[in-house]
Amino acid sequence: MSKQSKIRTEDVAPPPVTEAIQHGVYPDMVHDERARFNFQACLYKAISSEVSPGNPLTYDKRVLPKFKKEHGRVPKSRHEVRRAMTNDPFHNFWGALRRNTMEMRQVNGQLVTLRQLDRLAKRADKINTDSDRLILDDTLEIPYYVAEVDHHCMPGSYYRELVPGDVSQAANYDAGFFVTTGGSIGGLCDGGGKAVVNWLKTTYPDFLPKRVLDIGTALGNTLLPLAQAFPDTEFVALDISAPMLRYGHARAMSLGIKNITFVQKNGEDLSDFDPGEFDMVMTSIFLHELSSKALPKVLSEGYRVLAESGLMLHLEQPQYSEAMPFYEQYMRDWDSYNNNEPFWSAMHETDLIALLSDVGFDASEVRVASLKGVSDYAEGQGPTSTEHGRAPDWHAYVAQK
Amino acid sequence: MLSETDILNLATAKAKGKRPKYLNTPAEEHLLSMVMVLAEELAVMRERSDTLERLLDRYGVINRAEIETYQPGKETGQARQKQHLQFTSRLLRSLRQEVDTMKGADKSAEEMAEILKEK
Repeated sequence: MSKQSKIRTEDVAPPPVTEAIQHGVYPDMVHDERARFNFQACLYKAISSEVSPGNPLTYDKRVLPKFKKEHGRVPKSRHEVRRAMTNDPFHNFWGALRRNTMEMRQVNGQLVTLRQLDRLAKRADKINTDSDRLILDDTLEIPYYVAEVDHHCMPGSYYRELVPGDVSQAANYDAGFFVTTGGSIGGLCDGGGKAVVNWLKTTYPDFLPKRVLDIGTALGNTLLPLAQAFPDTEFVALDISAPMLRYGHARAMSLGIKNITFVQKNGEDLSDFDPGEFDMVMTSIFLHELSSKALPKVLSEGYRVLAESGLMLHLEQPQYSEAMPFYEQYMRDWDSYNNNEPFWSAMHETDLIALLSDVGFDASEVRVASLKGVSDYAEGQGPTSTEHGRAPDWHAYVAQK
Repeated sequence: MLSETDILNLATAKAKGKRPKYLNTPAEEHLLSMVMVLAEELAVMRERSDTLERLLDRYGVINRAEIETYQPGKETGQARQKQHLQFTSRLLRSLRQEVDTMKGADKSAEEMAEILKEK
């Protein structure tokens, strides 16, 4: 039998960027800007399905045998796997490809949004002006763990403001998100929120929250399906970044979603809210961008403002556990060292259930649910399962007060 | 409004933090980055020419099927082959130059500098 690896023609090509849902503040793109993004989505997909499968092979056939020969044992941690893997030429070339795709994605997104910097600000402002659902605080201090880290190799981070009313980084984040996820979480990148809604409606069919708090909402992309599923519920969405909030608010309004108030606030200090004010406190794909000191503060503040029998829900990539092989832990850790996610590694080894218990929840009552992102497109368009840490296979950590 | 230079500088800015090393030498890192950007631009050009063909076809300027069966004629065929050869020469430049170097006739800049002091 031939050992040649087959180019996987059964894989569906990711949708072109023209299929992303064009809401009211979606950046304009000309032909070649769209073509660059289209190429990138395919490049991500091709690396994921054609090159990434070489990583477990090189580990099993080269890296692990060499490690055993040198140490007389198998690796004892994901860090030992990392040090061994980063000596392997195949794995390093794969890493270089991946790093470059992320850097190119930023260049492409910034070229799109910076040339329409003023126009984007005006478009957002036209929707936002006079709204009582956008509350900004220009005295808010950007926390160290955001100020000093350009997450996902995004120069200027979430909060850069080049002109008054700037939303360019948010527009860049939004447009590129569709590309890097290859449509696997939908045309509005809201597949995580849809998965949470499905899970809540199945698990707690009678749950009808009056008020919901979302901490670290970014574009609000994950929150929107919840706001649509619970139209009579009042949502409060917090973020430290004014550009994200301006854009998120305008984006939601233009999509006809009007039950979310976007507030510029750090989740570590919720003293403006009353104890028990919310029936649900949530975060999505957010905890890994905090720090060791900030994480327990966010959890304990969230617990304080949560009503009795209210739900706290955190959507994240799965935490590392003893059952997870060190190789998989290392692959899941890759973004921490290579995609400017420096807290990712420490956060994912934290015992989240213990932390939830520390702030007052009953540890035995914490549920861990596996949630898959809901896509509007065909199966198989997004990253494959060999892309640990990238595929939209999340855990929801849910605790009831 | 930002100038074109401002946009280019901001869009190609480095993210905070030291970039990890993947390959053996900085030259390899740079080459790979360049190759990937070139591949991207090639894909963009192909998409652009595809758009052009489809638009020209839609407005009846061309029939796309004719592109596949196009016969260039002797003179045009030869001219196009010359273009390919020009391109392959440019593509293989550094290898061809290395072969020339192996022939041993070249002097280094330092050697030449010494020679010119005497001449």
